[in-house]
Amino acid sequence: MSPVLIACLLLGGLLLFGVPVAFSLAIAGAAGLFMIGGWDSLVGILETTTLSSVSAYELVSIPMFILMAEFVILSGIANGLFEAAALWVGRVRGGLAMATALAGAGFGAISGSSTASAATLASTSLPAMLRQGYDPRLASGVVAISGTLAMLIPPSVALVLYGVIADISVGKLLIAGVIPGLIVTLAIVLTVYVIVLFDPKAAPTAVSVPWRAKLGALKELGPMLLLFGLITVCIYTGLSTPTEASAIGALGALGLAVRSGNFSAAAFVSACSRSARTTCMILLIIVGAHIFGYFFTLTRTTYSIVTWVSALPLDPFVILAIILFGYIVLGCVMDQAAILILTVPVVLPVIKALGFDPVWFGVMVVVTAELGMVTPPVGLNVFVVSKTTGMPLGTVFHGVWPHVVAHILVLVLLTVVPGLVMWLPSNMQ
Amino acid sequence: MVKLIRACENGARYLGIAATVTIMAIIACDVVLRYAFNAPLAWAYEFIGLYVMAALFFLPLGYVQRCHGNIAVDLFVKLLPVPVRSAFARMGNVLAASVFAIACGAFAVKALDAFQSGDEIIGPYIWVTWPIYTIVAVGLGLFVLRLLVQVFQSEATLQHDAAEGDHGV
Repeated sequence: MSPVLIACLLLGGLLLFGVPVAFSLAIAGAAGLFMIGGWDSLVGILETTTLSSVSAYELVSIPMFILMAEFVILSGIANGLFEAAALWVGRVRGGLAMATALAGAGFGAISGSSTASAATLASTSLPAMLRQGYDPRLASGVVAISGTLAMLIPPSVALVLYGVIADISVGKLLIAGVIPGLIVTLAIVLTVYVIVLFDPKAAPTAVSVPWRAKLGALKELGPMLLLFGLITVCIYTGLSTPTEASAIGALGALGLAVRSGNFSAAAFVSACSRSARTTCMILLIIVGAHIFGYFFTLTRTTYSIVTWVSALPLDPFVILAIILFGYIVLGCVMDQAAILILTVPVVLPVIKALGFDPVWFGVMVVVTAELGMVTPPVGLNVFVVSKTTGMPLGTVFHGVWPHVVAHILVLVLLTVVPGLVMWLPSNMQ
Repeated sequence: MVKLIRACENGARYLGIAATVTIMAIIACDVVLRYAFNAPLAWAYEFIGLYVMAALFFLPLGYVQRCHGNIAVDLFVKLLPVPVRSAFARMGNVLAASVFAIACGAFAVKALDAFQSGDEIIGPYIWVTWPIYTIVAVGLGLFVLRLLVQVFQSEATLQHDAAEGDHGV
């Protein structure tokens, strides 16, 4: 058996037996390196990769965006998002569900964490929908899918991660997520519209709200819009790098938390600890992936895969569809950060060889990853909604299926019209 | 001994948090000084990349492992009986500890060498290297110790530690 095969089997076995992803990658990579280069080679590579993997300046935006999300949650402004959106669209049949999608987009605009978004929406919008007599499947499904918008709308930790791994402009990637983020939001709203069109009992109508109350609600959104505008405009105009924008965003979110009155030393330490936990989890996977990636590079495995796939007598779009399908399958069993770190170094050279744009592909991967967040058996957001509300997993999964179909249609649209993704980044300064 | 490791992990975690806040503050100051006074902090980029990012990531590693913060694909293993699942988890810890112990040892030697030789990175600013390697060695050391401690801990203790992390305390 070749060292590559042994290392891949070892990796698969360790993952299967529940060994953490970062450990599995590091162990399998180290075993492979030892097999091909011996002890000195292994020690040399561990000594180099362990530090260099995490000292890239661009990586700073990951802890900063995560910290920003924690401070936003601490501030409580995310809770007001749903209330404001509900005042504007709540009167329409299914309006509260549509408001949940809008609140998800709003939360995504100030936080890059999908699970944090789902948890917040589950504790705010879901009880309101259930009180009004919404079908629990419709209500929980829209909450789970709306949470995933945070992965796409800037600031997105997933896109930053992709940019760092793929070594392409993080700024362009973040800006590229804006239009697809709006399209996905619209797709969720339209899906709700179609559901209630065929099943009016799933969602009741609500009473009309005076314009004064509607305009008053916009005031609540002021700080959130300011924070989102600050980050996006700074990146789009080139006024600051994504790293700088992330730090300013975190500081701005800290300011909002202090202003909200929810701030205390204990809450601050707790938010920072959660941020440290998520950051270390992601960065440790990067370290493990670098060790494994080094082994793949030395054995020329990536090169062999790229050569093989490029020579296949298939249309590039067929290969793209197979790759994206693979991402959906992986998304069903693995965490999105782990999938990105594990696959992008191998898949991206193939994508480039097939003639696709890496920025466009990054957005496609994240939209696909959104599906993974709500598809069984793992579907992290579904678990978050279920855990937060005590609703059965089956109900949430059932409610999310129409949105999965809509997401696949969005993927097709973005493939047919790549300009929807590339227009904003191609006009960046 | 376990209490001592726990205390060290908590200390390292607070240093990691301090590093996170420091990065936020330095970058924000850099941007303000650049646009308001045309006087950016020229040292910020290297200082953060060399020292603070290392502290942010490596120092809390032990705490994160104590809280079971490293994600795993637990879909299939959940089907197994608890003792078997636990045996796999302990085996994974031993193997991971072996790999990261090698890295920890390498960085400890590197830190000592760098300290004795006065190794520096020379550019627009001069940066001594031994503190960087020391941070990495200390962080990895605490991480390896926690991995090994968990091999011998009961399921109840492991669950208790994981729950503690869920509350971010």
